[in-house]
Amino acid sequence: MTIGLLLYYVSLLGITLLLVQSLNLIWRVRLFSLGHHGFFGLGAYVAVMVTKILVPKGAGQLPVGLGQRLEGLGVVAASVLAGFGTAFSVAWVMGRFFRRVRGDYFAVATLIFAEIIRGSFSNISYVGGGLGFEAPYLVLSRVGEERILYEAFYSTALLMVNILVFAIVRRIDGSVYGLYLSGLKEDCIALEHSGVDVVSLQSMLFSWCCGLAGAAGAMFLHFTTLVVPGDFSFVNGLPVILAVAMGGLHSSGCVMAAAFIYIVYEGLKNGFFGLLEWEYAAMASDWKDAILGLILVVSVVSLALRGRRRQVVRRHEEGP
Amino acid sequence: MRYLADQVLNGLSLGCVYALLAIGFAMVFGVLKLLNFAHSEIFATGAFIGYFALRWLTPDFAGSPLLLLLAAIMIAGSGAGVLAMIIEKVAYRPLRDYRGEGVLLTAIGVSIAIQNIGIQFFSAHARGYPPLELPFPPKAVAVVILVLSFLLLYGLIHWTSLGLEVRAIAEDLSTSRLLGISPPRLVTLTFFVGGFFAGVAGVVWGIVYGVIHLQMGFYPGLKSFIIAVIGSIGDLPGTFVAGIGLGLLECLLAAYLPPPISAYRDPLTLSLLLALLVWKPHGILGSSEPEKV
Amino acid sequence: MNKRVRTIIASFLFVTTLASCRAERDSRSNSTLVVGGVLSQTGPAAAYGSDADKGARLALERLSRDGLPFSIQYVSRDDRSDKTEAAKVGQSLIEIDHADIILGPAISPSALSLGKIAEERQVPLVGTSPTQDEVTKSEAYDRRYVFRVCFNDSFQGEVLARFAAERLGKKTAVIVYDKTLSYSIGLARTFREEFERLGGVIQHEENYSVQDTDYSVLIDKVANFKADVLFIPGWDENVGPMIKQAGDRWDRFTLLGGDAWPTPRFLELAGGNISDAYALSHFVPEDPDPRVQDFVGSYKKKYGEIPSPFAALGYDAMLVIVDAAKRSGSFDGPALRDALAVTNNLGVVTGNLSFDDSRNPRKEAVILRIHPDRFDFFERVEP
Repeated sequence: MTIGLLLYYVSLLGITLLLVQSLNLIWRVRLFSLGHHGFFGLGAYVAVMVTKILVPKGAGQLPVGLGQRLEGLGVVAASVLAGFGTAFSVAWVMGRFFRRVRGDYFAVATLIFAEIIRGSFSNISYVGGGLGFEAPYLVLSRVGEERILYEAFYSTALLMVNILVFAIVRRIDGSVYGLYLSGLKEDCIALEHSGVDVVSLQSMLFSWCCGLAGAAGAMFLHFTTLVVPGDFSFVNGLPVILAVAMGGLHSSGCVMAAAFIYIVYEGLKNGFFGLLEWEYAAMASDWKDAILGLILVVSVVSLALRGRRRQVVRRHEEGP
Repeated sequence: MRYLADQVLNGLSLGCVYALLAIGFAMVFGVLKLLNFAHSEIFATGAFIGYFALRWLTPDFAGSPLLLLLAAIMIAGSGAGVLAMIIEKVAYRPLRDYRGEGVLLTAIGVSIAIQNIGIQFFSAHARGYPPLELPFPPKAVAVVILVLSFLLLYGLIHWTSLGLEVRAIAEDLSTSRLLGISPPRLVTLTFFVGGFFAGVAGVVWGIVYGVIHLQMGFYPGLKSFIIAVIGSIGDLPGTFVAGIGLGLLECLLAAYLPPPISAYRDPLTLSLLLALLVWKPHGILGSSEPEKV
Repeated sequence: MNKRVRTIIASFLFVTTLASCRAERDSRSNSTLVVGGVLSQTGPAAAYGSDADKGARLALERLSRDGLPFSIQYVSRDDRSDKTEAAKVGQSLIEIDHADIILGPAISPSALSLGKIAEERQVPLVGTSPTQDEVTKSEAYDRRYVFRVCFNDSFQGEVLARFAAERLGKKTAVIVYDKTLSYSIGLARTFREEFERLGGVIQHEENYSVQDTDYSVLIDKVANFKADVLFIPGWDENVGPMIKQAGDRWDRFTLLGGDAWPTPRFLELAGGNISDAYALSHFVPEDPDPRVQDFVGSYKKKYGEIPSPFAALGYDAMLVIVDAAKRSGSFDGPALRDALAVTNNLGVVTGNLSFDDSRNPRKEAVILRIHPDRFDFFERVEP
């Protein structure tokens, strides 16, 4: 395990965490979106278009000199903003249309939407279509000595964005909006009746969070430099949904859950980053998915059973 | 004209499979408000059991291939139903309160676990369904089987006292309990029936499309989820209509769209579905009634 | 999970991760060649990757048995037919398992993403079946560390078009390609260009997705055209069932396919519904060449089935790697790469292999005639 690889994982985790945090917030306003990966993809494809327009010569050239790197930084920033903006706008429009759609149907609607995005973009040859798109190295490159800088740059940037988002969410929790959020969790109708415009709150948060997913998509493009439509499929969106579901509806829980799942899963793949003996590593790698599924089931079920047992004990203690 | 008729038949048979899958899904959702993610795996398991049944039985069944098919369907359906019951017992029941993210999590966990354990033992590549010499084209047989299954299910739900009880707990769980209906038994039954028909759908899929693999349940499962919601969950005729509708839509769009646009047939189908969802947010045949959030 | 448990777990993970870090690759024993396998063992390309893995392991077994001046450790990982996974897994093989060379991937998107990384880390990569042209070289780059033992899309498309137009004398064709696979798109494109260049006419093009299972509409649409040839450069998992579902509606066409067709699975999935079909392949199990028979025999003995071309490619990749390692002065990336580049007429299962300037193999291909129950050697094609 090298520092470079560690930072690489941190960056990937950082992108996942952004998605997890934003989806978590959406779920907390009782909008059970299952199509978050759609906005992720949208952001990435918008970033592709921006990159193609601003950097016509495409992949293959490495940035040299401060001037080019700053320009590159500009392109990255532009695509992230464009990704954010597009996702935000689309989410806002969606929000208006889906006002009358209730809970479970909303979930399905978002799912359908995500598939539409992916299906449409994978047919547009301008953004690469089925073949995908390779972005040029814009600020730094992974070649030779620069590699460690590259990984450091992206991992730090992503870490900072995540911390920022986390801090903002904490701020929200502490404010009056936080009360609204927990109110939503308890009793939505009562909240409506006490004068809170729940629908506007939902739309606003939905837009911002989907925008964030779009920004994450743009960053994903520039970090991995290669995107194919398969990256934005539901299968790839599952770990995010999993983490949010596992973390419960508080802000820190889901982040921990995501990091935990991610580290364990990746660890299983390579024998816990080199610590396991070779044969066990191979076996773990083969069974990792099955193990993940079983862990999920076992953990949730045992938690529930424990909860029930506690209830029973309490009833006993309280007497008839 | 013949082309149109062919495509309509294609659409019908595809739609029937979707509908049957959706119904199993909708039953569980209607009764428990639970999104059974593992439904796709039950579907795939049914297909596989059918595969092995057909290969194992062929030497023995000298009778008509239709009987062979029926036997395979029965075996696969029962197997799938049993699997569904086991899943319910192990993964869902402990979470008494069937709502919430916990269940979603276990459902996904079960789905992943089954798929991947299967891959360890059976390998992920596709298998061809053993060819059957049926007296009618497989698609027609499929449609007949599926329509019959649907009628059977409808009869079960609406004309038996068991069905009445199931509908009761779907409508109002606590009141039903007060009236002496025992949910656990019925829940198990619901899962079995839902799983049974998913298994049937799996075998039919294998017969019609000829190929099965361990990850085959994913897209049909996703579509059946969409259909169950659009068909106004728990409303059988609505789900059936929605399933057929989707099948027909997919096939007709693919058949008649000119080449540059035809690549977009999937997004187009989905957009139409989405529009329908928004326009009729309580399902195709449902009425608008206020729902407690 | 209560707070204390969480903190404990988090710290444990943190500490172990740090502990396993070292600044850069350690020097390890220079007498063990670590070959990292990145192959798709699950996902849509499961067949191609797992077959290649089996082939590679067989090769390893036999080579070790025959005696080698060094020992080999083969660590194989699944890339799930996903390119990001391939990048992740490849990097961890390089940096955690200290792989000296990568065997695989089996599909082009993975080879594109991992190839980029291999080039940057200066670790040679020998792909088993990624056929997209851009894997080794494109207008924008030249990946000197990326090799492959299979021919590329341009070659396939051209050969097939020439076969159809000149050898079979066909004038019209319909193309059905998989719009989600770069392999299929690439092959369709080169076929179309060459076929039209030779005076043929492409009457219609139709597409499908790798996850489709119902081809009824496609079949009926295509059946409307009165063309000679139906070219379907797709994967066996899709084309097999497609042919089965077609029943008799496609009997008028001569079916033509690429190297992804000829697997045992293909015949099973097509359900015996084949009358007039050909495909390009890397090898035929029935080829009387003693090398092929030897390979087929030992593969059957070890795995109980007839090897597919992808197994043969995996086998060959391992042979190529070991041959280069023998000739190379050390297991350094650059040294191995240079040794690979000058591979000359190495006798492998799929022919006599040398790499050209773009690190694609210069070897023969075979055209197979496909019967309902078997593949038959039809003719050999020179590069």
